[in-house]
Amino acid sequence: MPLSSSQILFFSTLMLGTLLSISSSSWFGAWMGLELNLLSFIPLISSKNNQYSSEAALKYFLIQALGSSIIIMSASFMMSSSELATTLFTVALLLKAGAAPFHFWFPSVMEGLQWNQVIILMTIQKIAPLSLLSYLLYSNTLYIVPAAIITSALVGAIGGINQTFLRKIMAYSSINHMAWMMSAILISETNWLLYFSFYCLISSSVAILFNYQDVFHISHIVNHTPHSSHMKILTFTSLLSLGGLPPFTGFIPKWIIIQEMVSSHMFITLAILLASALLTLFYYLRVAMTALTISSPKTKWSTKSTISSYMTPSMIYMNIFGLLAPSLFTIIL
Amino acid sequence: MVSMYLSSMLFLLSGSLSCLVLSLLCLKSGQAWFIEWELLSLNSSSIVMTLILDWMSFMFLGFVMFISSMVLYYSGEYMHGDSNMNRFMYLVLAFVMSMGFLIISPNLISILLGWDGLGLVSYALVIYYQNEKSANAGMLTALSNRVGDVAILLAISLFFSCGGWNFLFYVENMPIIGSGGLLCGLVVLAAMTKSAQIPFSAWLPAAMAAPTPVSALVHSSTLVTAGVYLLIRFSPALEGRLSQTVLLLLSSLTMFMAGLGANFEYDLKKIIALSTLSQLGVMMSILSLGYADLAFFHLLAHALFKALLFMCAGAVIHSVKDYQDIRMMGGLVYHMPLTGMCMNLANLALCGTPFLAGFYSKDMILEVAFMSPINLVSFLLYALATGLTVCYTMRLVYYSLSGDFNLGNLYSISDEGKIMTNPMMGLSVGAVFGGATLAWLIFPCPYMICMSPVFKMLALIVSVIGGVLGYLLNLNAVNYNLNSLKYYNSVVFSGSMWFMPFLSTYGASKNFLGSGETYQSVGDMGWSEYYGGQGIYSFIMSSSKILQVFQDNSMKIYMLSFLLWVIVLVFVVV
Repeated sequence: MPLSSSQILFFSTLMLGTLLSISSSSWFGAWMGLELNLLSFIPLISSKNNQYSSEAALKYFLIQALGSSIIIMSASFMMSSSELATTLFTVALLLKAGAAPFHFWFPSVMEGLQWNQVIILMTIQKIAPLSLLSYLLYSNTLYIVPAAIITSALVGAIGGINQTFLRKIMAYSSINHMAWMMSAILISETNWLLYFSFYCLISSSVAILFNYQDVFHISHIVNHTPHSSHMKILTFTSLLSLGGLPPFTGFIPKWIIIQEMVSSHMFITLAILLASALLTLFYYLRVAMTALTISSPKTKWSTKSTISSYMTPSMIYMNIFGLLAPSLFTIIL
Repeated sequence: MVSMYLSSMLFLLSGSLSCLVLSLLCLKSGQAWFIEWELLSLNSSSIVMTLILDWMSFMFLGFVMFISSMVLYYSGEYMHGDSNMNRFMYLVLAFVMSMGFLIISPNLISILLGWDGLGLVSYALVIYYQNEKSANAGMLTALSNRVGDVAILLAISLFFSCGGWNFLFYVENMPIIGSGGLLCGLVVLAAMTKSAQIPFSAWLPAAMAAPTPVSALVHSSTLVTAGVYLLIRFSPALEGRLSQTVLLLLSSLTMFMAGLGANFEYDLKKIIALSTLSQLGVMMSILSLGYADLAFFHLLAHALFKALLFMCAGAVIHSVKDYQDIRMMGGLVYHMPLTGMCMNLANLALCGTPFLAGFYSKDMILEVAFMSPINLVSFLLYALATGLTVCYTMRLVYYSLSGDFNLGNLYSISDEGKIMTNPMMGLSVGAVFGGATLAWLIFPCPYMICMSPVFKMLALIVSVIGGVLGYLLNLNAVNYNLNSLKYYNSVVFSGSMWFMPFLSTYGASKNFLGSGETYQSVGDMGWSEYYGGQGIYSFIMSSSKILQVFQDNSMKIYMLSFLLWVIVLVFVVV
């Protein structure tokens, strides 16, 4: 789908907002970047012809505006009570990032989006709130973040169990991953950066594959896909990688976070994270299992489309290159 | 190409002849060779492979090889056309080899080679015909024998305190060893399972599911005598022990039970199996009275005529279109005179008819038993079992040989199968002369028998009474009433080996299967399911439903809940 000129414009302002907010030295600057980011995302997702995306855009706008208003309000408290200000910043950023217990908007907004917009929401739109959150950790807001980690892990895992829409599954998976990312933030920014970049790669590879196959529901994968079986295998490799199953890429960041959490004695949080990772893996597998094991009847006139040539190697790269991670680190260190 | 049954026969027969000659040499010179091969040394006790080559092992080996050569030759026709003929032959040869290892190895560890080999091969032979009945019988056989294997293994661990496992050296002074009583008990237990004494009797008639040549070799003359042979080697240690007393009572009971059971059985092979069981009881009981040499004597003589009897039974079964029910036979003596003669000869030898093979051993055993100070129960069981033996023999003679012809219109009975009748002739020679020859060889100076005329004549009297009763009670005609129906309960009890097959299959497995079922329903499908997979799943699903409630499309509530948190936090912080 070629991008229109307005889309190019809004996409660049979206990136600009993100960069502005994470590189600004004052909270006003950060707020400004977030507003710019929000206001350029709205035209990217709303569409005159699709009432669902308009609804999603409206919900997104309302929630983000609420978060922004809390930020600008607490920025004014900064001089009088920095403690209150940072607490409110934290809460507002959690709302903007869609972490539990402020996650309610996230699945329903995701439900109204196209897959490429889902990718933006899952990756780029997380950069600004999470970076700003990482700036806040000098203060004593620490007790809010671990609480958010635990609730995000549980909500992400348990909420996704009963879902049949792939975008909602991806939303809950994103909430769960948020818990891991926040734990990474608590340990060090490098860890967060690492986990986040891996997450971006894997979740966008999953979304790209779903987009390519035009599937939005579990049953679509089973019944309607005219694609070859190697497409299926590619999709579910990506899904299992998203779930953090060794030897796929998704396991590498989890492994690093687990090790770091153990050495920082965050055992209880870690136990909850690991248990929730099991549940997320369960619902990814449930998506994969029926499609892999049940052979669906195919009509003779269903077009046998093969995957475009650039896609296979790039998807495989995204989900298997974690195997190279040890050598990667040798280079970095 | 020479057929396998011929080459096996030749090989075994020559082996048998050389063994018998060597046995005679050993008997004459009193020599014995004892060969040890040390495998490893453990805590200064050496584990050795031991071979003993004396007149006893040579003679037993010779008999086993002679009978097996006859049986293998015989199977050349009996198993003719079988699709797995060679497997059968190899199995029987493996069996003979195991038996050989058992005979020449007086070491509790190296005897396992033969002992377990017998168990394994006999299992493979019982399940040779692949059907459910054979599989069940094989399992019963294998598991009953397994009890004895475990007893041997336990005895090995107890023997460790002796500093070696060559029991031949330790049996003389077993009393001074600490756990001697327990050790003897375990060895007796092992022997009782192999020789099918009373709690473990059920497998022997069940093992008749094997082909008839196997029954002739395995379940009459070799496998079942392994237990007796082990105890013969072990007998000095048993003197005056509790296990000896228990063994006497159980073996006398076995003898009586089997003799009684044979009188109610209609399966030809099972009658002979029960008669084998009865004779094993005779051997075991005289052994537990302390006369191991008499037990060995009877073991050899019995092996000769019992193998013959089984071979005749096989020939009969072969001729009457694979029926085994004796009510479907009758009058066979007119149609297959040679087989009838051999069968009659074996039967008479079994009954202890004077100057046939069984007479020398059995009569001597009975007289020695009557002369020794045994209790009234054992005495009565001896006398009754002797009568019952003749009783079921005469019944068998009536039903199969002399009675009315009961086969269908179409029959093909004949004596023409030379491959089957020739080995029968060979064994008949043994059944006629074997007893006398053995008596002269083994007992150069005869036993001193001194008893009153009534006791002296007792065996003869009960035999005659038993024979007459057995023949007359079983005479039947169309207009006769079936009087055994009046005593239905006692007939069922006596005819089913005192419920032993039921007890050793269902009785042994009932509680374990029942508790397994209970634990499965309570544990696997109950609590561990409730607190395991299903419970966790339903908990997560219900939590997921609660989370789903928050997904109703109410933006106002979302925003208000967020503001509520903000207000709460403001109050908490400030």
